Amino acid sequence: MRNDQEIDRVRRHTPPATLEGIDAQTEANIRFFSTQSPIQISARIRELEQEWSIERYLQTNASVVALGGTVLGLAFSKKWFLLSAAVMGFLFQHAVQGWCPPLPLFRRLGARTRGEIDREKFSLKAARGDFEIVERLNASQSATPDHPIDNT
Amino acid sequence: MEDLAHAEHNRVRSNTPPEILRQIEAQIARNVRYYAAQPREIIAQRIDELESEWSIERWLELKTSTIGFTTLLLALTRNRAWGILTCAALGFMLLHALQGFDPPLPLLRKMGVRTRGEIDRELYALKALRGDFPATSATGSAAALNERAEAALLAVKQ
Repeated sequence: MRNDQEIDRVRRHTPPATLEGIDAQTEANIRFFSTQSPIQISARIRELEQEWSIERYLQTNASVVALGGTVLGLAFSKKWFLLSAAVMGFLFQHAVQGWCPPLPLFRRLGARTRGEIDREKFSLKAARGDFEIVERLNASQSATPDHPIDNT
Repeated sequence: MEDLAHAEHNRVRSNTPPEILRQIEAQIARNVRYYAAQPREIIAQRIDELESEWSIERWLELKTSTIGFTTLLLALTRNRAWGILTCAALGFMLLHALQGFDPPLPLLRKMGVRTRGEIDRELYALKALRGDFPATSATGSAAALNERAEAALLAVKQ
């Protein structure tokens, strides 16, 4: 898997082996839950919406570590501020680039991006039949006209 | 429209004022209706655009790290009391991560910054319109297009 093609910045910076593992897990979940009853699928969708995304883990981690460093810096040696400054630098890098030192660890532990969670969610919605009406309308209109209609 | 406010369970959405939530939902609906009438290439382009759209989490990380880093530099070189400001910024981010609310959130939301879940709802509505779920899709009469857009909007709702 070549992940430099990934549009998502976090996926692009996840080691390929870890990424494969995460995608395999998502696909296994989809395969399992899509055969379940609509009620169970709905319960799973609710669960997915509440799943902690990688951003949430990283924000919690960064704020706790940097807060600790800052409090120590205020109370004891100013040098502790350097620890917090490093954490803030990495958080900035994560926001812009999509990589920071704790990222590989959290990813290996299975923390997914919201996009990955939503992929499972919308696949299950499709399995539940949520897209049936669109599918039917798509099919009934497949006589393609020459030019698209401007609907602005 | 009202029930769209509960389209998904999300801590940021439950901490967004209903008025702003309505605007965000209206924007999603407008986008889906507009792109429903566009050819496949334009829809594909829009999908790429949506995948790289900056979510609210990313903006908050950028904001907190910038304020945090600056105040820490000031605490190191000038007065260590600047560290108190750092603590406030970090406390807000922790509050955001755990609870979904922090004081700058309403401002960012008002500027139209969306959660990844909101972006993904537009994205999957467009995928459905493009025919990603089965294999057939095309354009038809204007009335039929509107009908498809409404069906897609309904489908991505909880």
